[in-house]
Amino acid sequence: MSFLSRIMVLKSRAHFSAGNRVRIEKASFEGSRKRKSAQAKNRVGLLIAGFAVFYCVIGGRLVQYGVAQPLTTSSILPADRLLASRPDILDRNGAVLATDIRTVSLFAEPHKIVDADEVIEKLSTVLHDLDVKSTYSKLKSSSRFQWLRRQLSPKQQSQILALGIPGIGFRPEKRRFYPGGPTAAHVVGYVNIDNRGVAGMERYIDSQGLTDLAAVGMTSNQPLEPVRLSIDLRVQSIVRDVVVEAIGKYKAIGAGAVVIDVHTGEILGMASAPDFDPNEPNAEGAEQGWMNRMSNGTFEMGSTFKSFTLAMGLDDGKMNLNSTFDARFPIRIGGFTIKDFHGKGRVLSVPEIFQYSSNIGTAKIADAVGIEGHKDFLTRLGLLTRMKTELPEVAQPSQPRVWKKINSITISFGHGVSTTPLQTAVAGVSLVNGGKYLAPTFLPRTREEADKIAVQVMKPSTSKDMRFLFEWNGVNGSGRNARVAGFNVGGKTGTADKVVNGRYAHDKNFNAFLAAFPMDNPQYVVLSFADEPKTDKGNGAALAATSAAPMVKEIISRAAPILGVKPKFGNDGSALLVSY
Amino acid sequence: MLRSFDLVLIGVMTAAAVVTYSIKHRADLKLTEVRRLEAEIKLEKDTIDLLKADWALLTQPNRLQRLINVYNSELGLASTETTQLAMPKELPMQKARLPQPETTIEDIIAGKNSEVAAALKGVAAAKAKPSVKVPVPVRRGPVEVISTGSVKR
Repeated sequence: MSFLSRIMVLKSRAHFSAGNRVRIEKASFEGSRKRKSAQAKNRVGLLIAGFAVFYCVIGGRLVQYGVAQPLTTSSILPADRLLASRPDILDRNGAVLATDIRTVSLFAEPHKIVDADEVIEKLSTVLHDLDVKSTYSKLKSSSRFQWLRRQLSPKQQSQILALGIPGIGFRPEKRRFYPGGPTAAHVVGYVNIDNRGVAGMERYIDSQGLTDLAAVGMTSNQPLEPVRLSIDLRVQSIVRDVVVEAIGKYKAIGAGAVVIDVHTGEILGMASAPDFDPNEPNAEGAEQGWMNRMSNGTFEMGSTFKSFTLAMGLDDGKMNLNSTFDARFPIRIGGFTIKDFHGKGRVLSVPEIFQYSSNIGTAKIADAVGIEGHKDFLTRLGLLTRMKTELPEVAQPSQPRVWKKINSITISFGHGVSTTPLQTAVAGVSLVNGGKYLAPTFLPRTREEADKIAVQVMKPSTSKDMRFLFEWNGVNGSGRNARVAGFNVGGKTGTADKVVNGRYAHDKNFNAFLAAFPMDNPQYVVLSFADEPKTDKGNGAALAATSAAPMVKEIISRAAPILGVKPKFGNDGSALLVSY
Repeated sequence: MLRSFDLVLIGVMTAAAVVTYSIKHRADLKLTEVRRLEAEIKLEKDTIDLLKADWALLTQPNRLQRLINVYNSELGLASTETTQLAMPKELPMQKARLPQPETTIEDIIAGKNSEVAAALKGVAAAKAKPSVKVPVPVRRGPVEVISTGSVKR
């Protein structure tokens, strides 16, 4: 039997059986209707259930979303360099040294400008110095964006808004502003057009991670914690005033001064001239002032170095204050003759060597200590290595590659080693504060923090002797021009011949004065220098006593009361005002 | 065919819609207000920053120094000499804190039997008795030339 015939058979059977059902047709008809309606009801129920489940799921999901804590998500937009803020820089008392100010810049969308002449006419009522010609060509250009004026004041902005000109708009911008102008230029530094620190503490702040923050746009419109410096604006202003005055008064090519707290190593004020205005660092002629001569210029310090030589001799134990050295005859070594400038031609005691600034005497002291000891002592004082501080502009001092006896001798009176003036002042701090080396800082530092990082580099007794010598020279020697009534200033002058084309030029001097006050209990070290001052009286020798020392006097007499140093009159420090 | 229940439902729905709308509208108004206040705060903050910068500029020591130099002919200011500085303990005693003597000068004058009282009596007596020959300076007119006599011409 084929497949097809089998189906036919089955079909006929079904027909047959259906025919059988016809007999009970009536009853079965009722049943089928009933059955169909029940079926429909079932279907509707199923549909209802389906929808109910569907909406329950949606409702449940909504409840779930409602209850769930929203995840904090954010997208990182490209940093807007116009709005990237920098932290304010404050001085130790909270006076502003650098701040961000919001300005607005005016732009035009030329395709939206209806009447360029009217726009110019209206704008020139507010911006009086508007260049009509160039503005007209900007407004008529086919571009879609044109800057009209950068960095307007808020007043100008509101006036322009009041004019109601279509097609122009404002864009906020941040601009770095230094209220003091050049006052603390070399300490604070400046920023470039992208608001990145280029020099000074601005650059230091960037190197501490601000650049990374700015790169991911986290500094936009965000108030940042201000950075406080150790600088005292009042002292800084005095120091800068004196330094700039010195340039004019002594016709020097450069000058500088620094005030350091001897107990903490904080720098209270530091200025180097010529300087620049950080608000316009790229102004014409400003590049001459970029160089920070205090920390980034190296000089042969001259006789100021004798302080370190004497301290070395005293610390070595080979001599004391009562020792004497024969300074009658010049020293001849390796084709050089070491002479005294203020030669006395007799045997000198240690205070006398200091007072008369005897090259022969200091050479003999250095000779007594030896080359290795000399090198070691200067290294301990940080005079032979690059100084570590926050400021990025720090020069590497130079020294002879191999120290011979002649080097040790010339270095003993400050020739042959070039150091930065700041470095010399920092080493000078160790001489008077009890023999502790403190790395200089431009950030506030407490006495406790300073004590933790202090390194004892000489015996406290040596420091005591050095205080005596400084005071001695201040009262009797070349430091007399820096004496300030009541503040007991002591110090050591240094007049060095500058090296020109490999030879010492006698008519080009470098003058420095390393001072501390008050000498009975030193609080501050002040160092001043004048580079190539023209103060010589026709003999080609411009002495530090007539240039650098008066600078220190001026700084101390003006700044000491601000620094909180109490004046003392009379030998025993008691009040002795009878002569007034 | 509306049944009363349907009417109630429609009413409830309308009311709910109205309430929802009014809440949304008020929220919008509040949001606008918040935005306005935020903008105002921002403006104020910016102004404060600007004023701070301005203040720093105006109180710059070098600016004050410049002003002093310009107006010194009128102000007559001079920098403080270090010899002018003194500690509080070095100052002379205040007048009010001076030790008071037990007997004052008034007491002595008032004392009946003291020498002062006797002297005062004498003065009073002298005043009461008008003296006849009291030398009175001669009144002179305006003096144009005073010759001292000691200078030889």
